[in-house]
Amino acid sequence: MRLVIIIGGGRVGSMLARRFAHRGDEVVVIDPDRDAARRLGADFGGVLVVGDGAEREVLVEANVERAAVVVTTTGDDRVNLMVAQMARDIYGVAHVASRVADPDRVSLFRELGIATVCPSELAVGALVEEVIEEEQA
Amino acid sequence: MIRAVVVAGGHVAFYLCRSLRRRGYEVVLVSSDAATAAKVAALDVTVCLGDGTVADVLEDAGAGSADELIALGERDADTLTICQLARLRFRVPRVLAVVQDPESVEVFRALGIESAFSAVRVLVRVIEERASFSGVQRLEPMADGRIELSEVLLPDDSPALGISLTELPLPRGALIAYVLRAGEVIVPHGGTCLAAGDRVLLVTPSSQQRAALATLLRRRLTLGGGS
Repeated sequence: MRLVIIIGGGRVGSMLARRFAHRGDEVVVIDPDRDAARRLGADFGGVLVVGDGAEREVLVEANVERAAVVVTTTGDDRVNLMVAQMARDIYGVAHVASRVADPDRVSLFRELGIATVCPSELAVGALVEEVIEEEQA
Repeated sequence: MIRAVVVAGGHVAFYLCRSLRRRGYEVVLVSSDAATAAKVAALDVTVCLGDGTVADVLEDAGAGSADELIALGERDADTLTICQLARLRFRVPRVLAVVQDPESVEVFRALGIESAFSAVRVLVRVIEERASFSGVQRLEPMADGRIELSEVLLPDDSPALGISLTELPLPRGALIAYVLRAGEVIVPHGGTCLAAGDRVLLVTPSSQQRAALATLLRRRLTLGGGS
C-alpha cells in the first residue's frame, strides 16, 4: 500500500484525501486546524495530523520518509511551495504535486521542478472551450 | 554603490534599512506594512509598498539589477518564496534569508538558499556562552561558523593574569589578535602579559572556542553543560 500525504484539509484537500483512500491508498492529511476532521468525514479511513506542514517535525510525524506521493493543497501558494520543495529535495518523495492559486506563480513552481495544477487556469480553459463549442454548434 | 533590496516589515525593516544606508548601500525596501514604509521613506530609501512574494512587486523594486537581496518574512514560507524568486527569476547574485524558526536554516540550505540565518539561534548561542563564561562580551561567528571571534573582558580571577602569552596554554589554532588596555590598542607578542581589565580579542576555530575561553576565564557552574 503506498502512502499519500495531503497538505491542507480544506475542500480540495479533503476531497482528494477521500478519493485516494477510496482507491485503497494509505492517506495522511496534515492541517493546522482540527476541524479538518469534520470535512474528511467520519468514514475517512486515513489519519489526520494536526500541525504546520512546513515544519520538519510535522512532516516526519506524517511519515514523509516513506511517502510515495505528496500533494500540497493549501490556499497559500507560499506554504505549498515550501512543503513541496521540502518533500522532494529533503525527503526524496517521488511524486510531488502542488495546487497553485495565483497563475503568476505557476512558473516559479515549474522552475523548481514541481508539478502544478492551477484551478483558475483550468476554469478559464474549460469555460473558453465551453463557449467555443457552443459557438460551433 | 551596492544595490540592496530589503523585503521586510516592522521595526527590523527600519533599523536594517537605516544601517545599510549609513554604510553606503543604495537601499530599496519592499514591505506590505504601510506604517514601516512611511517611516523608512524618510531615510533616503526607495520604498515599494507591496507583497514581496509577488514577482511583479520585486521587479518594480528593481530586483533584476540588485546586487543583494535580504528577505525577512513574517513566515518562513514567505521568505522562501521571496528568495527563490530572487535566485531563479531575477538572478540576484547574493540572496540572504533571515528565518524565524531556527530549524529553517538547514531547510533553506537544502533547498538552495545557502545564506540563511536565524537571529534566534545567534541569540541563544550568546546566552549560552555568557551563561557558561562570565566576561565574554561579544561573540561573532565568521567564515560560515567555522571561526569564532570573541571579545573577552578579563576579570580579577582570570587564570591568564601575570603570565606571558607564550606560557598561556591556548589550544592549537587559537590566537589573541588584539588587547585593549586603558583605551589603547596593543598588538600582543609572545612576551605580552595580560592584566585584569584587559579586553582581549580572541580568534579561534569554532571547535576550540570553549577550550580557548577556559584559558582566559573561570567557568561558571552550569546545569546540563555542553553545547
